[in-house]
Amino acid sequence: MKFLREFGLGLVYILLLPILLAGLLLVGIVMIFVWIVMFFKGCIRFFKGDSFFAPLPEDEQVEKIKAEELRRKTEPENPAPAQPQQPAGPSQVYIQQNYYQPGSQVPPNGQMPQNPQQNLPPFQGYPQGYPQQPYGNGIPQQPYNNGIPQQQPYESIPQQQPPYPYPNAEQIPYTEPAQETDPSKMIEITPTEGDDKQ
Amino acid sequence: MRTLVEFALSENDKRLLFILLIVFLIIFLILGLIGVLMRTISKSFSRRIDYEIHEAVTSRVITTPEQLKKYGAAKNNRLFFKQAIPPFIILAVSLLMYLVYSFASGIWAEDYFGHFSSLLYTWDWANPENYAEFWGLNLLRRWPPLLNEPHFVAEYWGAYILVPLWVTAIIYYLIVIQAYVSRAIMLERRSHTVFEKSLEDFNYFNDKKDAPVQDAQSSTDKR
Repeated sequence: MKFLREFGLGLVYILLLPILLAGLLLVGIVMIFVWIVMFFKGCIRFFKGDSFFAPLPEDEQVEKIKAEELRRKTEPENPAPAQPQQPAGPSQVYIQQNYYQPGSQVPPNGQMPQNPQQNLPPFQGYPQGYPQQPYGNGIPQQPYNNGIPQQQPYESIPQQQPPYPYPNAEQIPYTEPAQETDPSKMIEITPTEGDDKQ
Repeated sequence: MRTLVEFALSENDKRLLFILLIVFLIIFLILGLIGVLMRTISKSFSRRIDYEIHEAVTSRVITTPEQLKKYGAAKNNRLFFKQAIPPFIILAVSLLMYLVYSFASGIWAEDYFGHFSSLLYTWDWANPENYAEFWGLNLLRRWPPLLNEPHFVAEYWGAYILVPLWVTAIIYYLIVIQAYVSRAIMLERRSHTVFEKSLEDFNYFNDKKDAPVQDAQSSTDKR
């Protein structure tokens, strides 16, 4: 049925063919002049250094919208604050190698590394007027578990201890640490170009 | 009882009428199929304008039918310019060859199409002895004799090159023009359909609950 309808329309087109051909020829002749005008206008633009066709304002708007969408997709919604950039230039990293005998807690020379906080004065109590209640507002705090009885806390948190000493570990003999940093054991690392961008 | 046709027509006339009927049917069938082909080609050409204007329409850059027509016409012209480059190049090459051939031969007006017909079959269609009078119509009585069989003539080499170039360029350009007209028709249709405000599936009573204006009006009346 559809074929018969197309066939009938085709017959109508054939009967109107002389008019259609005349119109087609008329449009064809007009478009020859349009083509020539567009050709010369395009050539003038091209030799001026522009594109052959002038960009349409609608196309420019579409390009802007597409660029905006692309920017939204690529950038995160809450970008992190920009990190202050390190000044570019060579930097040196000194790596000091210390060796300890496995199994020994104290170096043989008996000198433990000093904790800098041990030099602080002992605790003398809170100063006058310092709030003693939790958070300083005097309101007794509710437990975080909303009254649900908690289990007894562990005396000590059980941890899985690895077997020690490792049976297959390579035994490194203890050597006396050097009193001064050996310059031969210093490693100079010079960042290459582009490291700061990462 | 003899019918009027049997009474008025002889046996030869009846045969001729039957043959004419079949010939007309075949001609109509061929013409109809050509029309179907033209419609199909036009439809396929016209879809290209949708591709050209799609982004600007879907991104809501174009807001009015007039803007769509103007933008689509500019796009259609540019597409026509690009598509018409091959036939114009063919025509330019053929023009250059015509100038060279005419300058070399010294003859500037030749029957190029007549020369080219030496490569085609030619029948004697103009001979009146091949036609017969039938109810006032001058109809072909017999197939005309063959006048020319394809043969190559060395002097016509210019026509053998120029005529195919011209025919190719003209047909190519006509197809490009048909595509241009098809796109223009489709653009005109789209300028109506894209901004169409249809009430085809709307019913006042069915959609009443979704109308906030109606609710606001009724609450105002209650006050």
